[in-house]
Amino acid sequence: MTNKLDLLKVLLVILISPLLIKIFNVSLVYTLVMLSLCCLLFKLKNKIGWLVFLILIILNLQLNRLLYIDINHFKVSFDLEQSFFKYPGIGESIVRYHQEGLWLPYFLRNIFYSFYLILFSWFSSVMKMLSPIFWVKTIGFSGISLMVLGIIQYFKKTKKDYFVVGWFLLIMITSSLRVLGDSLTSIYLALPVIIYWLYLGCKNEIFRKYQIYWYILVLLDIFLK
Amino acid sequence: MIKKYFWIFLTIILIFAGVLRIINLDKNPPHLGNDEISIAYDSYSIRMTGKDEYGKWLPLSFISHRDYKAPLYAYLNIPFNYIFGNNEYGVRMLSVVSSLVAILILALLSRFLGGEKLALLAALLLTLNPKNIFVSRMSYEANLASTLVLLGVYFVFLFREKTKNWYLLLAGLFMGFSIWAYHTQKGLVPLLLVVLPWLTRKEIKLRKWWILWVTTLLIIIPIGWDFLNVQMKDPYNRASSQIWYKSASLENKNFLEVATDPIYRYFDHFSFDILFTRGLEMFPKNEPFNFGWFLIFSLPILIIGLFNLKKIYEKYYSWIVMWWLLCPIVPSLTSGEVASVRNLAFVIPTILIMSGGFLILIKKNKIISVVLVILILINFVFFGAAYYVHFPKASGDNFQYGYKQAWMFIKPIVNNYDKVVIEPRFGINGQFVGLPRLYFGYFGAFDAKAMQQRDDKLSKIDKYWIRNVDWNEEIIEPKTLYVVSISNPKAGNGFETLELLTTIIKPDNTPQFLIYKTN
Repeated sequence: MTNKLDLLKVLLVILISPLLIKIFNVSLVYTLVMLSLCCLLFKLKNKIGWLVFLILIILNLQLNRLLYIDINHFKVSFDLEQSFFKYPGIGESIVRYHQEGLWLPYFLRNIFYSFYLILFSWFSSVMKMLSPIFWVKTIGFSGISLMVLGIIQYFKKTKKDYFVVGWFLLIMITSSLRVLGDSLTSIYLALPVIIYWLYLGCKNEIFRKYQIYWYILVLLDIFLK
Repeated sequence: MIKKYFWIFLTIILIFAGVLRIINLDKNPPHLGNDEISIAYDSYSIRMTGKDEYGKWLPLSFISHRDYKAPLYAYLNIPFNYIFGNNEYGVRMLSVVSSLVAILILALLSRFLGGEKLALLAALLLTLNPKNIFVSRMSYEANLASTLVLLGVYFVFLFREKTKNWYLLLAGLFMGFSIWAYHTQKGLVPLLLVVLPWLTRKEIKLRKWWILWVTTLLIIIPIGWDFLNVQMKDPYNRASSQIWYKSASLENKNFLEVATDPIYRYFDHFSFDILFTRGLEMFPKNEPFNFGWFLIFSLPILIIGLFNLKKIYEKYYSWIVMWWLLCPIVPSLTSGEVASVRNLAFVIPTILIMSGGFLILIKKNKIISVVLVILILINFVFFGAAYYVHFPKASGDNFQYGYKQAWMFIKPIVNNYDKVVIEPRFGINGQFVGLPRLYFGYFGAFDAKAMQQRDDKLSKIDKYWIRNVDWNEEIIEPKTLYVVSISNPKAGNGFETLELLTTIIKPDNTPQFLIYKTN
C-alpha cells in the first residue's frame, strides 16, 4: 500500500511538472527505446552496460538535434555549429587569448591556449544543468525536494547500482554539448533516473516526518503552473 | 610543526595574498569603474572640504548616482587618499587591506574552531579565492562590509566560548559599522543577530545578548535616521527601485509569480555555474576563460565539508550553516544580476566549509588530497592567466576606460586653452554614458569647491563642459579642446577646422576617444 502511495506521489510530481508536456511532445520511439534500454540495463547490468550507454549517448545526441542519423542513406552528421566545438565566438576567443598571452614562451603558448579550452565552456554548461535552480524550474519545488532526499537515500544504500548515476551523468554531459538547448529536452532521457530518485525520496525518513510541508510545495507548484 | 610555526606560515600566506592583490593594482582592472570613481572623488572632496561633490557636509550617505552609497568606505579611505594621492592606489588600497584583514580574521576564527591546520587551509583558500581577489582589487564597499561582518561574527563565536561581555561589545561595533559600509548588511546583520543567539538559546539565555543588540542599535541610529529622512524622501532614489518586485522582468506577472521570484533568486545563488564556472563574468557568456566565485576543484571539498560539518565544527556547525544560508537572503530580494557583489558575505562561510572538508580529506586520504592540491593550483594558474593577462584587455568599456588617459594627455597643455568639451558618451556606438566630471575632477585634483558649485544645467565646471557634441550645431570657438567619443561622426560644419591631437586607445587596441583642438 505504501509503495503504491509513493508511486502516486511521484506521479503527482511528474503531472505538475513541465516534463509532462514534454512526454507527449517527444516522439514515442525515443520513449520506447529509453524504456527498453532501462529494462536491458536493469536485467543484464554489467554484461552489456557499455553498449546500452553507447546507444543512450547516440539517442540523446539525436534527441538534442546534435546528431543526425539517416538510416536509409547510411548518413551520419554532427551539428558542430550548435555544439561547443564550433559555436561562433568560442574558437575566436581562444585565438585572441593566444595572441594576448605573451607571458608564455611561444611553444608553451601553443599548448596552453589550444582547442581543449572549449572544455571549460562545455563544463560550465554541465554545471548549469546540475544546479538546483535548473531542477526547480524543470520539476518544481516539490520535485526537487523529493529528488534531493532521494539522492541522499540512494547514497545511503549499502548496495548501490552505480549505473543509475552513470545514466544520469551521461545525459547531463551529452545534452550540455549543445550551446542553446531546451532544458526539458536535455533531461528527457534522464527521466527513469529522476523517477527512481523521486521514488526513493518518498522512502526517506525526513520526507515521512515532514510530508505535510511537501504538500504545501505541491500546491505552490500547481499555482505557479 | 604547524602549531609551532603557525604565525610564520600565516605571515607567508598574507604576504602572498598581498602580492596577488597589489600587483598592477593601477592597471588591472584597467580603469576606475563607475562606482569606484564616485567613491574616490567623494573621499577626496571630503578630505579637502569636509563636503561631498554635491556640497553636503559630512553626509551619512553619498548621493553618488542617486544610489546613496553607504558612507564608511569614503571616510576610511581618506588616509589612503592622503598617502597615495588621486590615483588608483588612493582608492583601491583600502579594499586590499580589507581583504588581507579578512584572511587574517578567518584564520583566527578557524584556529579557534578547529586548530592551526584548519586556520592555514582557510587562509590559503581565501587567498586563492577568485571572487575575493576580484573584489579586493576594486574599491567595493561590499568588500569592506563583509570583512566587518566577519569580525563581528568572530567575536560572537568568542563570546559563546568565553562569555565575556566585551566580546559582545566588539561584535556589536563591527556588525553596526558593517551597516555603515554597505546596504545589504542592513538586512543581513539583523538576521544574524536574531538567528545566531536563537540557535543557542538553550546554552546561553537570550537576555545575555543584550549588549550585542544595544551596541549595534546605537551605532546604526544615525544611518537609520539618514535612511528615513534623506534617502526615502528622494523620489529618484535608485536603491529603493532595486527591490525585486519593481524589476521590469516581473511586469504583467501574477501575484504568486512576483511573490515567489525571490525563492528562485535564492536558489540561483547556489547555482554551480555561478559559483564555480562563470560567476565572475569577466568575459562575455560562453567564453572559455570565465571563472566562478570559487575554483572548480574546490567543489569536492565543499561537498565533503557540507556532509561533515557536524564532525568538524561540533557545536558551532549550526551557526556556520545558518551564516551560509542567510547570506543570499537579502540579495535575493533585489533585482539585477545574481552574480553581483551584494552576496559577497557568502564567500567567507563557504570557505570555512571548504577548509573543513579539506581537513577531513587530508585526514582520510593523503594521496587524493595531494592530487586535489595540484589540481587547485593548476586551476589557479588558469584563473591567474584569465584575470591578470586577458581580463584587463577585454574589459575597457566596462570600466569607462579612457577618461583618465584623456586627462593625462591634456594635462600638460590644458592651460593653453580657454575651454575643454568632454563627451560623456563612449563605446563603439556611443552606447555608454560615463562620468567624465568625476574622472577629470579626481585625476586632475580639481578644486573641490568648484565641483560643488558647478552648474548642473550646463554641466560645466570652470572651463570644462560635459556634453555630447554635434558638429553641425557646435559653435567652434578658438582655444578649445574637444574630447569626443570614437562614435562621434567625423564630419559636419566646421569639423575641418579642427586638428586631431591624439586618439585614446583601449587595452584591446581599439580606439575610445579622439582629442581635437581649435587654433
